[in-house]
Order: sequence, then C-alpha cells, then structure tokens
Amino acid sequence: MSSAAPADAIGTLYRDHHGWLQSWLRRKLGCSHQAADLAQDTFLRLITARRQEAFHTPRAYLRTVAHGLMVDHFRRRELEQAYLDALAAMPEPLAPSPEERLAIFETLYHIDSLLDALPETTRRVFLLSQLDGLTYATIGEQLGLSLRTVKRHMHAGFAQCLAALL
Amino acid sequence: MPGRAALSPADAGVVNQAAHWLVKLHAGELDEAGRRALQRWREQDPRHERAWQAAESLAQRFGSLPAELGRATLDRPRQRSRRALVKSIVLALTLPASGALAWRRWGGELGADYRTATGETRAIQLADGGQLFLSSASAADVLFDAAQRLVVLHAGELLVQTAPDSAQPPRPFLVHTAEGRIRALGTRFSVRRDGAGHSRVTVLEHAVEIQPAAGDTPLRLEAGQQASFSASAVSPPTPAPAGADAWVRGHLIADGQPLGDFIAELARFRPGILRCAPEVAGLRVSGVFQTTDTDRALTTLADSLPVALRYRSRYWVSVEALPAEGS
Repeated sequence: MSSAAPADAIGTLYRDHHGWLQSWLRRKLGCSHQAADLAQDTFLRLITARRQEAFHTPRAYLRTVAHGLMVDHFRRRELEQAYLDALAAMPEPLAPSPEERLAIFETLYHIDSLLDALPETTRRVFLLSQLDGLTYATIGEQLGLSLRTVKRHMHAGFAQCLAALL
Repeated sequence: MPGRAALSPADAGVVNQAAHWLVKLHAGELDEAGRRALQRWREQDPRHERAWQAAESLAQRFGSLPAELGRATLDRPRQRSRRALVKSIVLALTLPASGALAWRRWGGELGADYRTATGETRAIQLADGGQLFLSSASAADVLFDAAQRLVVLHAGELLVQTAPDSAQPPRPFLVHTAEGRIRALGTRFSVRRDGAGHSRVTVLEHAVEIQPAAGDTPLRLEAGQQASFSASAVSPPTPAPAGADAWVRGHLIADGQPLGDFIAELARFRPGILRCAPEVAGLRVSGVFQTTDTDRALTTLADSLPVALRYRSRYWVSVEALPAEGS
C-alpha cells in the first residue's frame, strides 16, 4: 500500500528521470510543449500518490502514469472535436448557452471516461438505454440482439460505471 | 487507505449485485415483492446503499445531458491505438482501485471486442475450441452465452472454423451482420461486409443458412458456394473463387482475375489510397501474393504487366498504363 516517501526521494527521482520522461513523451507526442506539460503532470501524480513502486521501478512507473495521462489527453481532444461538431450541427434556438456548454462538456467528459473501456456494442446498448431511454426490447430489435444479450451488455455497462464511481 | 470503507475489486460482488438489480429494474421485471427485496438488499449493508447511490448519481448525470449531444459525442468509434494503450495500462497497473481492472473480469465473461488494423490479420481462439480469423481492417464482437455462440461482424471480413459444442444441447453458432444472420451447420466459412448494405458469405466446408434481417425464407448455402445478401434478399449463389480463404495464411490468390478487382482486393490490406486506372483494369492477373507485403505485390505487377506505378506519396499509389514509347 501507499506510504509517505521522503521529499528528497522524490527530488532524486525528479532529477534522475525528468529529462528522460520528457524526451520519451516528446517522441510519442511530437510536441515539446505538450511533453513538458504531461511530464509535469506525471510528477504531480507521483507526489500525490506516493506509491512504493514509483521508487522501486521508477521508469516503468513513470511511463505507465504518463501513458494514462496521454490517453486522457487524446480522449479529451477527440471528445472536444466531436462536441464542437455536434454543437455546430445544432439549430440555433436549441443550442445551449455558453455557460451550459461548459457544464455539459464536463459531464460528457466524465461519462466518456466511464464508458471508454467498454466494447463498442456494450457502449451502444448502454447509451441507447441511458441516453435515449429505449426499452431493452426496442434496443434488441434495433441492434438485432436477443433480450438476454441486451441484458448482458447492460449488466456489463452498469458494472463498469459503478466500479469506476465507487 | 485507512479510515475509508473503500470498495476494492475484491468487493466486485457488490457492484455485480447492484448491476443485477439495475438491469432487473430497467427491464421492468420487478414486481412489488421484487421491489421490497431490492429495498432489503440496499439496507443490508452500507456498501450496497453506496453502490445504489452511485447508480442514482449516474442516472442523474445522464439525465442532465441533451440526448442529441450525447449521442453525437459518446457513441463515436474509439481509436484502435488508444484502445491498445488503455489495455496496456490495464495490464501494467496494479492499482487496486482501478475500475478498469474490475471490468476486465466481467468483460471476460461477456466477450471481447476484436479489431484489426489495415494490413493486419488475426487468429482468435474461441472458447468452444473453434477458431476465428479476422482479416485486415475488420471489427467483431464475440458473445458466447448459455443459449448461443454469437459473433457480430461490424466491418471487414472474418472466417470461422467451428468446433463441436461441448454444451448439451449444443448451442447454435451464429454470425450477425447488419444485413442478417448466418447460422453455421458444422462448418468453415467466411463472411465479409461490403460496405454498401451487403454481406457476402463463402462456404468452404459443409453448409450455412443465411437469414436476411428483413427477409422471410432462409437460404442454405453449400460448400464451394458464395452468396451476397442485403437486409431483404439473398442473391443467387455463385461458385466460390479458388483461394477465397487464402488471406488467413497471408496470401492473395489471383487466377486470371481482372487487375481492377485484384487492386481493390489488395487495397484492403494497404493503408492509404491504392487506385487502378480504368484503361488497365481489364488486364488479367495470376499469381500468389503476400498480403503482408503489398509493396512487393505492386512491384511484381509492374514487372509482369504493361503497367507503371505512380507514387504520389507512400500512401497514394496509382496503377496506370505504361507511358507511350518515346514520349
């Protein structure tokens, strides 16, 4: 489990691996600004999490955390693009106000992260139920799935979301 | 973390139970007694109640979203590379609070989402001992349960080698596409989605039965036959071309095939744009080519046919007529 690591241990870790991590991220992202930001965020996580494995196998740990941040970063960018496209396609009177837009995006981002690990069909079934409010029977008809299969997808969807929320 | 009754994956049971109740509730399967049982479950343990609260906050979040915006953004195809990244993280991380870890346990029961990149083919061992091959740029779900062995083909092409089911009574083996259902009758066959509302089935051994989604009579297709079908009808079967399943071994076999058709086939295994000029599309091609080395296949074509390759970039290649002599 986690335990406090002395501040100078983190300092050593930072000195020894920050340059390496940043150039690793730069190679992955092709952008030195983003690489610097993400390297910073990675160390921030490390300081708040203070996990033992960070000190035992620092580079493996840093790479894993940085990976996660990179994935979030790309997912957020993808979602933003899809959101802007969807807003642009909305008729003017229905479009949300600027304040609402931000609130909606934050909710979208949150739900999107819950759903990201789901297989495509499970996500579709789950959204048809939770977003469109379709009954399981209607979802089954629309997607050509048995009621039993729809329930299995819904179960998996709920389980994934709850596990992430708790 | 001390002082906090945290739900760890070891308590996945609670999450599982909550999901079970939620599905029953939403499916309209809870009568008065059922609702009382749910209420008892919630009161039984603070963790149960917490899981239920989480479910309610989730419902609230969904409720606050305009459905139109949610649909346009959340239901987008996820990028394969990112999914692969997520998987590698799930495998690398040992954080106990990771929801993704808990998911993988149920995910194993439900079946996985398989995908191939352009140029990649994949062999997948099925739980019943059968095999599934996924061709280039394809996506499929495998959903086996107590009642059926179901594979859903979303895009591209797959080949199924079924195995006798150990379950009693044996469960049917089905492949679904948007256009309909193919039922295996002890067999080896491939299914391909051709984009424009058509699926194509090729039977290599034994037989299958095709049932278009909106058609009434199923059609039985025998070994050596191929048939295309839309959601409403199956077109008359034609003989399957030789080497229809050669892609499984990384080969493309052409036997006097028009160049235009061959290039279209090769393009499925090659990222970017690959075109064939109309004036050479009728030339005939014969040979065995590697799907994993499309550059070499193209060079071979240029060596053996009166055609030239025009590279606009690495990812945009045209096969054209040779420039006239002396020009």
